[in-house]
Amino acid sequence: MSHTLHFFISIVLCFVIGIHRVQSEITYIEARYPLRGTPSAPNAPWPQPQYLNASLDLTYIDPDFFIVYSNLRNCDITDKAIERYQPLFYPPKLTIRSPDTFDDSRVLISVLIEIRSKKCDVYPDLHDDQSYNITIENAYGKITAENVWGALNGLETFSQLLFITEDDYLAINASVTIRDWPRFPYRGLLLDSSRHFLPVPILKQQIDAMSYNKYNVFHWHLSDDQSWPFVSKKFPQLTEKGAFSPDHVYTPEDVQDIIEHARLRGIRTIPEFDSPGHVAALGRAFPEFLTDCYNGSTPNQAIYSKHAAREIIDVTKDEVYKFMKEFLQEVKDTFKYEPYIHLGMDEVTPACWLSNPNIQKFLKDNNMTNGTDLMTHYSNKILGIAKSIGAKSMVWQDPWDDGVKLPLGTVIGIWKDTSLLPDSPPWSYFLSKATSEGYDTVLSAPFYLNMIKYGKYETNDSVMNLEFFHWYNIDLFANFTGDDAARKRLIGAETTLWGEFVDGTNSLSRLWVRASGVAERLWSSIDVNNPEDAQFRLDVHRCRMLRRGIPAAPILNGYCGPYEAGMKQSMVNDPIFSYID
Amino acid sequence: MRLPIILLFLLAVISYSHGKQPRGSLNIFDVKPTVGQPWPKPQTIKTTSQQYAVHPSAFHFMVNSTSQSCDLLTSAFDRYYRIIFFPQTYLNHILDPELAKHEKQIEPKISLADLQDATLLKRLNVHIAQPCEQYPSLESDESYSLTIDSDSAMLESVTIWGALRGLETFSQIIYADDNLGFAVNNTMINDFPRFKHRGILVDTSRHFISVKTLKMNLEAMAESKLNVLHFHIVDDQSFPYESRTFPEISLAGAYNQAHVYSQDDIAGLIEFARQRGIRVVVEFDSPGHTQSWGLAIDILTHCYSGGKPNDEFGPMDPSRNTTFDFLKKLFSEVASVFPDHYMHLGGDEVDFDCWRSNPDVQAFMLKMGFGTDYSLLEQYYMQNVVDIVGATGKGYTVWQEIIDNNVTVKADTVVEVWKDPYPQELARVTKLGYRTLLSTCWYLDYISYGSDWVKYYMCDPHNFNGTDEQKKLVVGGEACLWGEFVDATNLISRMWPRAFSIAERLWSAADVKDPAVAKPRFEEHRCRYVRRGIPASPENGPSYCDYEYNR
Repeated sequence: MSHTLHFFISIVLCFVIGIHRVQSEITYIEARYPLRGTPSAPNAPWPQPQYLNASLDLTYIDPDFFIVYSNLRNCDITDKAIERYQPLFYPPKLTIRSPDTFDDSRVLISVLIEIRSKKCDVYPDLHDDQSYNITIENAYGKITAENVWGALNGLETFSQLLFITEDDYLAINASVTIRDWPRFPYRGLLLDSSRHFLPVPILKQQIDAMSYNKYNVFHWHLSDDQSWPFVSKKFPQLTEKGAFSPDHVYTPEDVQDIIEHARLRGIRTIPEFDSPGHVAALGRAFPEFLTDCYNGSTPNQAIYSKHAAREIIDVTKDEVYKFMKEFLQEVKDTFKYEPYIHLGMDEVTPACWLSNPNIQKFLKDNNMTNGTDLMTHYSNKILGIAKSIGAKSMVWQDPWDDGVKLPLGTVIGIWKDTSLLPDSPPWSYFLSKATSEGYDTVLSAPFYLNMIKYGKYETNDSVMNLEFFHWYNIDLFANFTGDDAARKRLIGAETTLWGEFVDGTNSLSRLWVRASGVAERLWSSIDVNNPEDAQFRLDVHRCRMLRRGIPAAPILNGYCGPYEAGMKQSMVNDPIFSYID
Repeated sequence: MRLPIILLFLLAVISYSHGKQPRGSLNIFDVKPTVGQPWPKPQTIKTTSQQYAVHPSAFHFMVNSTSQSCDLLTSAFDRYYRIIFFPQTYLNHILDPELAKHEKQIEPKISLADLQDATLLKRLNVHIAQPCEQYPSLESDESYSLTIDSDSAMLESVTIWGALRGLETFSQIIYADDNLGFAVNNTMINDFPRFKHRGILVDTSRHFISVKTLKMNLEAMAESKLNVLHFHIVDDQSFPYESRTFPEISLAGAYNQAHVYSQDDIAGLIEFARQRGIRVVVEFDSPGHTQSWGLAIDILTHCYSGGKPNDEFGPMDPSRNTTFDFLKKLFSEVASVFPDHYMHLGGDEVDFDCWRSNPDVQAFMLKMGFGTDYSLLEQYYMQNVVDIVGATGKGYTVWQEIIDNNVTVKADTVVEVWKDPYPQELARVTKLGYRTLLSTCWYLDYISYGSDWVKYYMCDPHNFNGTDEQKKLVVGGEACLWGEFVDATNLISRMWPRAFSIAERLWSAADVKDPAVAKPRFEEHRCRYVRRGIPASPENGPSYCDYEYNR
């Protein structure tokens, strides 16, 4: 959309403030550096829709009479969404007055969700049409979408347009036209359940927060060196030996609970079981799968900084592949709707492999020479197994940039960058190369939100919150050298919150509202990129997330309302939003 | 008291294994939490492997018959009984009784009958030598000794404040044990703080922090033996203090009326802190950092541009007597609301540009003979403020600028150093003979990726060149969590466990300074907080706690 249009949007929404003063506010860090940018309307949606036109006058909602209904009967996705949005429309601890003093023409009576396909889809797919339209006119609203997933996006945006006025009425612009679609179809969030255990109630709140930001893929990093929390029915020893403790596990019921929680919100759950590296926890259950590393002729001896005493999977062992076939089959059956399994394959250093005489013999016998050959052997086997059980594969970029020929159709995750690894080329290089070679690609390199830094940034004439600006300003196609076809193969990105320093105590406040910045980058038009304006809308969104029980941390000085964390009307820890028994 | 010989014999025969061993099997961890070791580390602690079982139905706190009695002690007994035996429900019980009603009481895993053959610790006798003081002070004696060598343990202290510290230690050395439920080892502790002022600065102006969250933070402070809440209550951004004398200031200067501390709120916080032996030192920072004050009352300097007032305001206007009349009334109120002897008067970061622009201020400068040296005007302002506060009978704490600027202050003034290089700053201020606090190296708002507690742990307030007399003038320090990016969503998880470093540096002996040695104890303490309901975040890389935080 054009700049003129966005200009128009901000004018229209700002006018609403004049009528009903916004109830939250961000403010300067130092009085001599006032904030720049255009203040936000109290109901500005996040991420910003592609096209939005809203009238200045308001219409009101009577909680006792307002209904949302859909043209689908007995569809769990829409039925449960309509139910779920009730406490989002009417935050449980806030007062909402009935607009009985208004005439009927100023009351919104209903919203119809119209799904053109008339199908109740079961599980979202990358290629689904995620677009929706909203119209509100003459006391009636309508959300139209091709399918239920677009409808969920529309319902989320609609819920964000509602706001509680200073005199406690629930209001929305009387006339609204929105046409909206995502810039990228894949908008992921990686959470790491291995380095610290993330309890199920926290994961559910994370998934809720994702849905409030139109993220649609939960990349669940379920195993690593530190722990293996995923309970396998076939191989119970994985958690018996590999979990932190019997309390630090996800039972099959927990896993289904999470998958279902995400599915109902239009979010895919892609499990990652990383190998052949990052397998110390796996190795506690199956020590025989690991490679014996040699120091000269002495087995099981570490040469620190090169290799441990035993590490990474021994790719020459048949029982490894037998296990992987059975285990991945179980994973496929567990995540039964999801076509992809993420197979990891990152950060494999071949020193240990090459130190081992059996592997040296294996190389010789098979006319191989180096670690890349071993990795090619391993990835061929594992990708073949995945294919044989009907799963599609995602992997981190490492085998591919080591020269392993991955079959087309493998989705590559780009995570390397000069900022993380000083000797690495920048992520734009990998992105251009992988997409140009024909691979669908997901970018996470610039979105490591676990790498925190202090937010204040001073220039000669301003004091700004650089941290948010930093994430917000990432241009995914910066220095991109591929052609148009290659561009299309960048299917999206992932915000990653690696788990070294986060657990249930801080993962929500650390991720939100920062991850919302990335969400807008992935959803909204490329020219929605002014952080000084966005900070005001983001603040409105943070307060909205607080009203929904997510302890989203502030981006600048300021306040929200009487529902902030710890206050009597706080929704944080309210049973409706916190999933505590 | 000594164990009867027969019991000792029994103990030798029935050898309970130490049921809860430090983790060792997961060799990828370099951090293995300790079991039953306190934080901060006591001055001297001796333990043996002899274990006592501690059971909720067979344990009592008792005031020793020869001890002074104290209301604070009775309520502390209630708290610590809950902390020791029902830690997971403790915090809600204190902060949110409504929520606590719905919580399931966790039954002890081990029944008293299971402990027939174990040696029980049946009581802790507490003996306080001096009469009960109402409020803690900078001069309070916090020493205590704790002896556990029979079924009847002994906690002795000079004051109630020492007893509170001892109870906290006692609660920390009791640990969960697979065989005994709760257990404690034979222990002798002699303990006292290295520094008397061990503070936390909380900034409630840049973001309002709910009373409940402030109380959770006070609880967290008590669990690390921190004893001063530096309540940076107002600043440019907002004025959440509801004044009795000038209610209009918070009406105009608070973010809104949901973001105000009523007099009841303040009294509740002071009492909550007192129960835990924590002083509340309130800061009303001026003449800068006062934009929010001026929204209701005309006390700020009008800034001029092009010969006309430009709708902007600077620091307090020292050229008008009305400014000081106002401050007299306000500070006299504050002096009566906050019982601590000290009030923090701020005095930092005064910008002279607006003063320079204002013709009335210029005329005043001429009249006073300050020439164009605006630091003399700042000095004049602060001299008036310290005299006003001094007249109320209070002492004051100030940021170092006041001393840098040669203001004459009372002899008992405490000067807070926040600038770098702090060793030179400490040397300079102590050389002038003032009691001094260090906060420079403990700005917890400056977050960074990784285990930054180590950096805070390594900073020592005696790390400067000075005489023994100068060193003695350093009364402690403060961890400051300024509020630009912090509100109740993240205050606790950002403050804790990082403030553990400051707590141990200021309490424990100077030679307790190796972070590698402290780390396992740090881990245990972090998990102790989580178990007690305080969301202290992971600081040492991948790890787990037996109870994880899930809300």
